[in-house]
Amino acid sequence: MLAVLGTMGSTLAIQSSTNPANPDSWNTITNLAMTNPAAGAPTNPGSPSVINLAFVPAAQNYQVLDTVPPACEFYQAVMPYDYMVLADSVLSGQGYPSRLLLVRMPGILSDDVCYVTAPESFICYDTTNQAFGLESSGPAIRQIAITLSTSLGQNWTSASEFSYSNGVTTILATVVEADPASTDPAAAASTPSIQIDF
Amino acid sequence: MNENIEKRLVAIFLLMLVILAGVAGLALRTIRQSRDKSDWVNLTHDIILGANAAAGLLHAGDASMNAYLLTGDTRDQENYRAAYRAMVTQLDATVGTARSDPYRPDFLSLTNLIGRHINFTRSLVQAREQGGEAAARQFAQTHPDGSSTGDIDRLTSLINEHEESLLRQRDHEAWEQARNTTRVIAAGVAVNFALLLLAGLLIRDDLKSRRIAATAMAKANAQLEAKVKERTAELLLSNQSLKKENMERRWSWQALDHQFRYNELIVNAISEMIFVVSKALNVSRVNPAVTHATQWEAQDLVSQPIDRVLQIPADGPANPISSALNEGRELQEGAAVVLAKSGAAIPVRFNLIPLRDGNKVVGGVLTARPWPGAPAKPA
Repeated sequence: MLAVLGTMGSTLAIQSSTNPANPDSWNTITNLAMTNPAAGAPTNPGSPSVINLAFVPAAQNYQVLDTVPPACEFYQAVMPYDYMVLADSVLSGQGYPSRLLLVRMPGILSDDVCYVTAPESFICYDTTNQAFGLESSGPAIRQIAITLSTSLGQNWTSASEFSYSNGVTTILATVVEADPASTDPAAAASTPSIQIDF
Repeated sequence: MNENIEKRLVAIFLLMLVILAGVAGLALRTIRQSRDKSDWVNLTHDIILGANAAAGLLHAGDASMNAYLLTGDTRDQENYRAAYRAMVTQLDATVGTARSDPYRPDFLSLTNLIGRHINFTRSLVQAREQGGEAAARQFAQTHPDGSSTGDIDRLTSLINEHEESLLRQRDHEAWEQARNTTRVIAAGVAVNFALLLLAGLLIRDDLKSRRIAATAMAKANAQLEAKVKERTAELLLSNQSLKKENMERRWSWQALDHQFRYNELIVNAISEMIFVVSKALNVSRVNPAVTHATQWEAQDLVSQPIDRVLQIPADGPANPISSALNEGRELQEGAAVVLAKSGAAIPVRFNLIPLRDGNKVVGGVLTARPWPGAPAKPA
């Protein structure tokens, strides 16, 4: 029996390996949806916010059924997407319309945020404090990129709004900092230019 | 003079202000442009990284896909799917980022080439799934160009070259702009420094001329003060001289006054009657002997004709006193009658001595003494 801790709404890949030193040796034995809130888990103090709504601790048990159990086996739980994608999924399901955005800055390949329409704020990860933060911003991609880069004290080069579904990331619109704001495209329903369906 | 220097200084400082504002404006514009260029350079690097990352992910996907074709391991399948999907995401993001890039057609071509390669890969996987490894090998052999990524690699290299040429071009522009800005700022600072120097020279000249004027004024003041002292000393001497002269005059007047008193006392002490008459024969003064003899007070006789108190018997048409005065001669022992206030006539002998002011006869002194031998006659 595996006791798995995670975040509500996430789907974790439960993997096993007999040789954890080899990264290619891990096998996914199941995808476990985290639906049980963890009892007695500490939560963020203060007034409720979208961060508290998005990230609720969960605890779940999973029983491994091995027909021929090895002498020694290791397990790991892997979330195949990041916490912003999870926040988007959880908040959308709770009636909080949200969007996913990717902001590129020099030296940072990409930093994604989850913009929540109702409080006009986005959730981001502060690497300095190693904590999630909430920043107020206008809804435009350019506004969000400026707010994020300013909070990090950096320039930004481009930002994209994207969607994530079933492991597929689709770029919906890309805004370039050097281009005039009047030419910024609006996000629209889209599909990847090349389908990976095999 | 001072107003002229003030105007010049104001003009110099205004010019300095204008130059300073121009240099600051230029510096701000350059900083803004430099920031724009920096943003553009960052974007270009992003595009290059994106294109290379997409190519790298494609190769990673191909490697996992080839492993899957050989082994049929689902982990390899998951790996190539993940790599290909990440590659597509990266490619779409890079194409979107290069929307305004001058070499945007290159990215569209890259998308097409990768799309064709993915289609071939899809067919290969399908062949593997339908006919096994042999079927996949046969499909690959019948489509030898499909598995190659040489054209994609060449295009990626071309994109790198194009983007790097843009970087060089922008870098050169930035270098030239920085050089020009440096020159303009240096020139502005130099001109401002020269103007500051000029203003300093003007101020120094002004201070020098003020010092000279102050020295001249001090010298003039000293001279004036010396003159004033000299004049004061002269005035002091003159004042002392005047005081001395005044004292001498006072003494002289006092002496004269004493003399006058003595004379008056002498005249008053004389028992003979004395009449001082003008040339017109009016009485101007009498001595107390007249009052004593005639009972006339002096004020009764002064300014009155002499014949009111002294009558001379008429020997001829002319009055002998008037004739003597006109001729400037004396009369001795003349007979006359003095008329007293009571009307009594007192026979007298009189003498007349003319009074001269220089050579001119202005009057005469007439003295009379009673002469008892002569019969008295009523007036």
